[in-house]
Amino acid sequence: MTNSTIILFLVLTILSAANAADMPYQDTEFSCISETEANRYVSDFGIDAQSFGGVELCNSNVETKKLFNDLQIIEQGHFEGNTPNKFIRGFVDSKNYYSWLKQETRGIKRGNDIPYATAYNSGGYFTMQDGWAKLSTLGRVGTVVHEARHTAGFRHIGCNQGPYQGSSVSGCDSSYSYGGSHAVEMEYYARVSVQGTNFHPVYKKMARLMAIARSNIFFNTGVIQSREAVLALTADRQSAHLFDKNTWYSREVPNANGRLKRTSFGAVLFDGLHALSIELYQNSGFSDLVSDTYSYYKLLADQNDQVREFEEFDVGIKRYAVKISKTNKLAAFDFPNGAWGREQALPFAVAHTSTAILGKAQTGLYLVSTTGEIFSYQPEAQRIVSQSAKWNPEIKEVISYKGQSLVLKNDGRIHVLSSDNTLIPWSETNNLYSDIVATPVYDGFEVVKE
Amino acid sequence: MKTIHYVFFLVLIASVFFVEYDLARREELTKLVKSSAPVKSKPAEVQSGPAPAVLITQENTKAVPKAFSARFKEESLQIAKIQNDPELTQTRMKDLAKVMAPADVQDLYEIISDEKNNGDQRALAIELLSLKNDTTSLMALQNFVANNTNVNGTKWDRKKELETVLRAQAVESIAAYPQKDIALSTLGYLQRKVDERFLNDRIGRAAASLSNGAPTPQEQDDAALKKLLE
Repeated sequence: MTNSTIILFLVLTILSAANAADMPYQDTEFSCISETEANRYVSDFGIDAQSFGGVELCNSNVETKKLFNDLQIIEQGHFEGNTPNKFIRGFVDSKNYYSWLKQETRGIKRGNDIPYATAYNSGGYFTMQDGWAKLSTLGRVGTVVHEARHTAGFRHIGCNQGPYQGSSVSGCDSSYSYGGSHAVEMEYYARVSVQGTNFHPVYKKMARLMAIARSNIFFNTGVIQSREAVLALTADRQSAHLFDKNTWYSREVPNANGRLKRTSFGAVLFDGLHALSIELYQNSGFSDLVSDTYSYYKLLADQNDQVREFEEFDVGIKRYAVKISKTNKLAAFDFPNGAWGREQALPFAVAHTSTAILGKAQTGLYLVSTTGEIFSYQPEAQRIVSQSAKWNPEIKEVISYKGQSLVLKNDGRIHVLSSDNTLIPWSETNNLYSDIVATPVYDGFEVVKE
Repeated sequence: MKTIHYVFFLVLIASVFFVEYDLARREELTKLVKSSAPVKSKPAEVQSGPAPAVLITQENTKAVPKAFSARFKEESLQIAKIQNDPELTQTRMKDLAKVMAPADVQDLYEIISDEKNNGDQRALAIELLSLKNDTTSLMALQNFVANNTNVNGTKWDRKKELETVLRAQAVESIAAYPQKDIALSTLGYLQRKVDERFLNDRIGRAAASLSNGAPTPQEQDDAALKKLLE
């Protein structure tokens, strides 16, 4: 063997070893942090590393490493632009998340003493529960940010809406502007979504969805107020008038019989069998009848029998769809099974349904009997509860609009229920109408004046 | 010359040890991948729905290339890390989606369906199924959203929140399916399965956007998140 052969062999061996070392044989090693960095996190946040499973620099299955990852992403996350908006108010300076967190944290340990909680903060000492460990990175980071805000004295209060309404759990903040734990957490999500420059695309996408999902759950005053408008069908039924942001717009309506109905996406004209779309945002110039294809009215598409009434409505975080047959039988759609539930015979003849009654801002489903008695349908319990009030025979429709009760009387005039419980003409119009409905208008769409 | 021979033998011995060590580590990885792989004891539930009836069967899972599992796990760890070049990350995910075999789709379906799995892995799996954008992945996403026991009728907590957000992510992926009619009928099917208000709203908005060209839910979110104070 010559010297040059030996040297060549040596070079090849070393190169091959170097290549092998570069191969991703143990993915955890790609995520190692230095001991110095780990020690700094332990010191800065008073981390009880043993309670998390001991200091771990590489393996992200160990909870200590998960926490280090979270702190690293908080420390090194970068945000560009600082224009305040509805979600980003500057509760925490975007450049100082780490120092802010450090200032608000006296200690972090792992525990499972309150199993139903994700984490809790007692005087600046955070205890992360089992639920925390099972979350995504974004969920864990959000939880730490959330808990840190409590240190400054921000506490939750009872909820007057949403899933915790009426429960003994104090899970809400009064409003986003209050800048409590929910707002600070959501501000972080919003920042990651719209201003984050060095986050993983999946982390960013989850942040956007998390911010939107939480926006109207934990605040007694919702962050994204879905815009409400009033849609009124003219007395001759040739057009509709949309009242949005204090302006009236004329809109085409299908040339068909039926009652105006609110849907989750707008309004339809419904004749008991077909639901025809009404375009709220602009006129098309065409008079074709367009079936509603994306609201719940399509649940009726499979059936041939005309129903007496159909309503879709929300209660808390659940959506309901209910139909009443011509033979006075009520059925609710069973979403988990994707089919209509069992029909229940009603003990009275239904003359009319409404999603609002006079003086009640909360919408729901109300059944009015032929004798004017009002019953509230409670979808969760599937019960019908009699109401003390009777339906005024002079009234054709009642809608709830921005906390007010608007009333369409049989004479075609719209009235509003005043603070002394009398009906006074609604100052926004003197026109005569044959039907009226409150309808959601999305921020993402522009209502075009024509 | 004698010295060179000693050096040669030393290097040879070192190389043998290194190769042995490397093989041992790879063996560890095999065990790691196997141990972290989703439970495959039962076949995925295939529900009747409008998406093309591509049957996802357990048999498909047997030939999962380890390379994909390892790359998938590696990428999921990246979610918890700062990305200095997010565009490169996006490209990496697209490349990963390109090499997915039908068996990988089955694996990802099992990962997203098991709530005990790591949240980052589940979110990445949904993203990859979305990037894959074929009928098998569409079916997997549809079945994941339709399997609604973690969402329907449960109280809102962080666990449900994660389940809901993951499904909302899947809904966006379904809406992005290249054949609009299939996307629409799939969304229509899902609208009948989910009573969770937020999620149902997302399904409806996605369908509305496909039907009338209105802004997508993502665009609406961005507009809302950038909305200035009034």
